[in-house]
Amino acid sequence: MSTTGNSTLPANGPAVNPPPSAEFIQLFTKTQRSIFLYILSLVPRPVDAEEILQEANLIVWTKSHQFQPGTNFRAWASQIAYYEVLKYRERKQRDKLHFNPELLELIAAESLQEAEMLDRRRQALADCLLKLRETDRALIQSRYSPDGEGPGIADQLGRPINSIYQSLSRIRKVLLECINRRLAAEVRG
Amino acid sequence: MSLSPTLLNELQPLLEGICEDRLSVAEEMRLEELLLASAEARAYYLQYIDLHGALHWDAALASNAPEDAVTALVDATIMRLAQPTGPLATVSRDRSRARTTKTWLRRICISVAAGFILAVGIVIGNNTAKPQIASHEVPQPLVKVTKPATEPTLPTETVVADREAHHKFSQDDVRIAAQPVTNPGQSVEPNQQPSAGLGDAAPVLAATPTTPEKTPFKPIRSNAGGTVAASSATVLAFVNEQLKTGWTQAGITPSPRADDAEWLRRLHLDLVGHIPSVREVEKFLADRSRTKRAVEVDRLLDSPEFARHFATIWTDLLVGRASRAEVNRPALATFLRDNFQQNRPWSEIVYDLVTAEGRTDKNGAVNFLVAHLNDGAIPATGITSRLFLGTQLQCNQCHDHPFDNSKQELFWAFNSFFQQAVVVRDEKYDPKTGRMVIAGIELATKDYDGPVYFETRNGLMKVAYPEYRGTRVDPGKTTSRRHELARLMTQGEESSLATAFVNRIWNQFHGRSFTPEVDDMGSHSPPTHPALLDRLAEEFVQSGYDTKQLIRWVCNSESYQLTSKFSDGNSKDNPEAGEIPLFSRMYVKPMSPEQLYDSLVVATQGQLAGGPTLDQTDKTRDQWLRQFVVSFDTEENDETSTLDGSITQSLLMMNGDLVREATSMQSGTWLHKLLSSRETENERIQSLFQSALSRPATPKELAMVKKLLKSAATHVKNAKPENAYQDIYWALLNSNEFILNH
Repeated sequence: MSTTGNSTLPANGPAVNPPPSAEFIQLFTKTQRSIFLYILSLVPRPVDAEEILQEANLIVWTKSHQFQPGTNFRAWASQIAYYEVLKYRERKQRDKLHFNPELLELIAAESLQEAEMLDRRRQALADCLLKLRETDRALIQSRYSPDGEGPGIADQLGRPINSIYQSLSRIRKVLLECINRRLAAEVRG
Repeated sequence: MSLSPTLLNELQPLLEGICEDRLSVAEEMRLEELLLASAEARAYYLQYIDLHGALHWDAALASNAPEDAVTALVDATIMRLAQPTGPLATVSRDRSRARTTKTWLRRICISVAAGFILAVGIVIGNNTAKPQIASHEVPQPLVKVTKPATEPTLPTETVVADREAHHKFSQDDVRIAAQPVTNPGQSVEPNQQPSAGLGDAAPVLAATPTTPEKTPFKPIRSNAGGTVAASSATVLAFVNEQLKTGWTQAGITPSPRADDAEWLRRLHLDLVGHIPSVREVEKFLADRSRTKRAVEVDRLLDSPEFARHFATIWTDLLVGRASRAEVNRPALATFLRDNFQQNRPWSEIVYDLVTAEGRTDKNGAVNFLVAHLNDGAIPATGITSRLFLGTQLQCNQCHDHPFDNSKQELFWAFNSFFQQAVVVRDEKYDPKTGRMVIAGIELATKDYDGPVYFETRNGLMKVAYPEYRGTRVDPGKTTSRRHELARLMTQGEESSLATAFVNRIWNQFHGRSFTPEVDDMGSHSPPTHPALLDRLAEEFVQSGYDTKQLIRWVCNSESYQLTSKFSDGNSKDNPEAGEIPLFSRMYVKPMSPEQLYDSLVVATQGQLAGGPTLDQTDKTRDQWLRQFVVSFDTEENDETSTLDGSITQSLLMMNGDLVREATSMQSGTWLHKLLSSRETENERIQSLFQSALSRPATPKELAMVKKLLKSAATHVKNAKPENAYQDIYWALLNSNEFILNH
């Protein structure tokens, strides 16, 4: 399973490939975020996920001619991303947080299965963010801004680092609950 | 899709650990185990990580239309790739080459995208020159230095400078582009709540129970009278769940429940400061009700002795046992007693203690600061932070903290708040003696503005302005600094004030706090049960700092019901041996001198012999205590007590007046009364045990004591039978079972 990814790589390089179609570009653009999140569910560190996404993007791009319009772009690109995840894991074997292969497969499959639901959750998130208390929103945003790691924020706010972690944990919980409520409301409405 | 609360409670902190990238290897393995075992756990994991990732992704992009931003990037990519000498030709052949190529490609993307951005910025950015973050960004009120995230007019440079630091080619650059494109109207006013298009959001917000609007200042008192409200049960369930999780994780089984006698004695010592009377023990043991423990907790909380005991504890904590002559200890104790009696919110009590003004005899609350304003309020700085906030600042007086990142400035910024407080001695001329005498001591406010000065380790002189956890207070004359400090300490939903108090109460009742030192919390000493501590603190704040409610949670928790004996399954749970406490049994606590004194009074029914009743003992007790207290002339106004379970205490118990009086056979004493009654030998022995140990003697003990009585009668010349009882009572009062709270 893990070898097919390599075998389909264009042997001659992309020079012979036609440039991607407009439709392809649109699909590519639209799915960036989902692909990123898909990768992240398999290697839960954003930095790693970003790196893998970049690599997957290159492959997706060079293989654009292989994509059959009308089929599920996201599934196709996710497949590529999955191989990139496997390759990445091989490269960084000794790194922290390596799910075992069995779990990885489970999550990968379930992540795709739930793709639609996750999409709806992501839409709900925007609204839920707006509903946070101002201080909470500020905190979560500084956490997710570039360089926004806990210790830095703690330093900046003059608060103990643990209290920052506690707050972040609480805010994430609030967001999750808010999203759940919104989804439940959608179903009812 | 429902996740059991147990699983959720275990999973959530682990997922937080992932988000903050601070999982230990063991935790990681545990997470993997949980995820493999349960589809629900995986679903939750997906949602959690998805939230994390979405926040990460969107923080960089303007969330409304990320596509536009990505499009810009794609355009740039296409432009590059369309060239015949495009770098991707090598990707699949040579990995190392590919890496460099990729970096190169990224740079191209970045600079092209940046160029694109610049163009867009010029075209569209007429009204919003600031490339700030996303539309929902809000300025942080607590940030010391607020600087814009990026320089307004130089997006290109910013991006180039950042490109090596972050590999977020799709983000750092795009963010800047997307902002003016998608949010031309919103970006400047970050506080603005977007109104259009989100109208349907409002009802959900209203229904969000987890983020209620709170009045931060002077919290509302809750209805403290209710025994166990619905939400209380939830809190209790959460507490128990967390404890159990700890036990499961450590692979231990908790000790069994304490029997009623053991539990009742403990509860009385903890809540009212002395052992229960014989009658109380009998009544409780005879009670068959299933809820009797919770009922007893409530009964004691409502008794005036609870307030007295807590006033004693806090008087000791606030001004020490041997406080200086200027301090009016009784007035402070009265202030505290009244407040605990009324169950005034803890935040309000602290507010009063920090801001009090007036005479030491008229306003008891002033005595706290009067005791610590010496030496430029250095002691006041340390103790306020330590006692109320659980933060040790005193080391920062002279240097930066060696382990956590707290700086010397912190101490002095905190110290600044006390600079307007001054102790005034009201001296009067006494015509009789011809001297000035002190008529009263007053805590007053003086005009003070500006910073305090302090010296760093390398001899540099620095200044510090009043600042609390990043919030600066106007250092001008018109600011009432202590009021500002008290306000900042007692406001907000997440408060160190609450966390520190919860930790202290837990410690008081369980013999161990969640942190190694009860008043030294912080990043360098992570709590053993973070979720538990947080939740209790949160609920404590929500309850309006309802002290009695907090105590109810603690006293009704599962851990508080357990015996102090080890079981086969929890020998690991031994904090004395340096293990982290898991609260799978009750840890043995030494009695405080006050508890010891009062317990002796209760045991021997001291008032029978014309001694003081408990209400009247405060003064005699304090006198008695003073002989054991040694105070040091340190900058923290430290003191120590020799009555600390050491040899001094043993000797005192064996030979001291107090125990001698307790076991006295003089007419009118309890022992005299017991031995002159018509009770049988068995009943007498039982009474001795009930009185000293709050439990009946076991059959084995009974047999042994009888044997002793018999041998004393035959072996000791001219022995009176009473003397043997006296000796046995003395032995019981000197037993570990008496002098410890277990």
